[in-house]
Amino acid sequence: MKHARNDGPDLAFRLGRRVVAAVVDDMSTVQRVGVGAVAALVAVSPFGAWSEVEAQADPLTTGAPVEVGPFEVTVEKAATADELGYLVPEPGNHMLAVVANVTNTGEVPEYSVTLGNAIPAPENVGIIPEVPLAELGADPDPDAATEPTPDDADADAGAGAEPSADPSASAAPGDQGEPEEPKLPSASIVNIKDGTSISIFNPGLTYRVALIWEQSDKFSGDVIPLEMVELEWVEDDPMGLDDGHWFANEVVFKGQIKVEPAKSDASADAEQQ
Amino acid sequence: MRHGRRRITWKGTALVVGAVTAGCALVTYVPQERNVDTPFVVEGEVGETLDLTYADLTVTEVRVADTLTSFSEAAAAGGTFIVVDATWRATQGETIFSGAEITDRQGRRFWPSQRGGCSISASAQPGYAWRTTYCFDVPREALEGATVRLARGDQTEEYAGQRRDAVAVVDLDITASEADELWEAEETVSPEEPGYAPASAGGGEG
Amino acid sequence: MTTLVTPAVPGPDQGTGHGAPPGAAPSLRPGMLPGMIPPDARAPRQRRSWGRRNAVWLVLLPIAIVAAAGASSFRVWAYWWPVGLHHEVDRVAVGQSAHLAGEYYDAFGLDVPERANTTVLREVDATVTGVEQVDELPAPSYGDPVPIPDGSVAYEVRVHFAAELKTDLSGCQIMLVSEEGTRYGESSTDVLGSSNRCSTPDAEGFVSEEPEWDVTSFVLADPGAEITQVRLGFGGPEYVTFDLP
Repeated sequence: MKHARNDGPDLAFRLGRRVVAAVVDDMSTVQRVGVGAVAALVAVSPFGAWSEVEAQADPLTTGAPVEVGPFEVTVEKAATADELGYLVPEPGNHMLAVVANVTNTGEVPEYSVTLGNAIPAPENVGIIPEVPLAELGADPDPDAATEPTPDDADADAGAGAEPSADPSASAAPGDQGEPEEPKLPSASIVNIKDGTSISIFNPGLTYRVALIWEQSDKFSGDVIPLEMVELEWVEDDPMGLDDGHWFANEVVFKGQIKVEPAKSDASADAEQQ
Repeated sequence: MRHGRRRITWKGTALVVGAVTAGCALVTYVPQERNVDTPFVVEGEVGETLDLTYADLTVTEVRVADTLTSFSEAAAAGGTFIVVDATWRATQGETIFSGAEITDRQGRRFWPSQRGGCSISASAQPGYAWRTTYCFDVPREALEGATVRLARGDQTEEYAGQRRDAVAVVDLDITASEADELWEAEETVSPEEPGYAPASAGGGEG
Repeated sequence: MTTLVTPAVPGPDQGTGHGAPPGAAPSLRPGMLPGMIPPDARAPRQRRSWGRRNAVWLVLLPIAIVAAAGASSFRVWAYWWPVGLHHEVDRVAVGQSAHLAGEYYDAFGLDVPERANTTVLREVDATVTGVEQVDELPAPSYGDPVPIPDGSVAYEVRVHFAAELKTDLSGCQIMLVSEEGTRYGESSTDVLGSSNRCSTPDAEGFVSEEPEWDVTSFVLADPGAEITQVRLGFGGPEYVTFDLP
């Protein structure tokens, strides 16, 4: 009579257990842990544990279209201007604009914020960082006397973002201990043809846009490093709160873009071109 | 009392594997959400008043423009603007109408823009007819056969805000030849600010 | 070494061996042969029915379901109930006084600094003194005159208020409700553009300055709508109803 205990799966289980016991029984705890680790490493091998993490970025050149998420972007040039439409910089700063043709190649509208996430502000070229929310409202608290006002924060942090950075420039005496670098703002995205601010890109349409940041006058180079970040579509967010969004992951394109010098009629030119 | 461990049998294994497979198949292939969450689509034509339960909606006029001018700015289209004038008459209470979208023949979706003085949503109460103008920047191929979808709920996240709610889908009646003509023409439109609708828009019921 | 084979020892239900290992098996009574049922053994009792065995839990089950549903209705409590008039606290006829009491959280204490970060009880006694249709809207405090739009009619609602000084009146809604349940004038901004509907036109802020005062507010409605109630609220959930004759 065939007993269930001698059936296939049960037999396999018992044999397996026997093998493991035979190997492991005479080992010390340390040795058992070692064997376990080796077995785990062997087990994950077929699942791509050893593939190299790709960290290289492709070159970014003006005139060459690149695909970033749902957008096709062709960078035309970079330019500086004293002011661009409604965007007026603080004294001591000017506006830096990257001109690009952007097409939404998808089937649904995309937010311009998504494009802004894909093209972060160029680093180490004096882009004025975001003013942290805590400092935005004037704080009448006497303890904050040593905290920088927003104007000072711009100049201080502007100096801090320069290549010859003073490492303590970003941490003013009254700060709440912010050891990390000041965060660079997202670009303001403006339609060059009419100077209006764009908030969504409808599918199938191409816009010539300017991505605009405020830059310190202390920066005097004629190239800026521009990076583009890969956008990955996240259908189901692990936390369940952000289903269906574009996630900016790693840099995929990187290049040096020449900056055209500021012209005296920069704002008029920028709108005409 | 049972001694020792539970036996692993062919039958037991088959039951577990079968149940897991069946569960996965059920969840993957049976479209649960689609049936429970579908909006109630009310179709209509330009000029027709549609009953959406929470409001009466009439799309009164459809124009096409290359430029929109308003008090504060002029906007140039990336493609061309489809300008839709609609009149909302709420029937229940104070209501915000957040859904506005154009769909083309291929199924691509286009959302309205606030550039040039247009609205992307509307808000009204029972007792009066409220006129709003929506402007959609669309490419040339989207003109022919375009339909506009207006509703109380908003259309982001795959129409999540419109689940089990009424939505209006109005055919803009743009034929192929009209589409070419409209695309070539250079028109400038000044959208009116939202306001009370003029006479004979929407009608008043008790 | 792990044992893989169950050793063969007799279990408690083993065999009918009579007499052999001491205490291992029950011995037969005199006069009995193996297999016979003793005459005085009762027939095995039927187990109580499933219903009787589980009676207590069956009774508790609907209570548990209701409790579970209630516990997962957080969204109703948090999102639906506070927004909108859902709790009628008083109902009177036009001409009588209704007492509207409701709590709200004053975050900043803008008008009364002592109230900052506290939950305040707002109490107002209101009497609707008149509801009638009018042919023309008066000129607003700010802006151009508002003509009655085509396809609409306008009602004038007069209310008499009594409340403690410095009662917060922001978010006030004076609405007309038709027989079908349509709510006219639900917004806290009325047709003349005033967002301070429960204050007199010359009031400076959103808090009451007199112990008693009168207010007139205008509401647009559908022609032919039969208005049966006036409702007064401050954004919800509490409200009071005045029935029209």
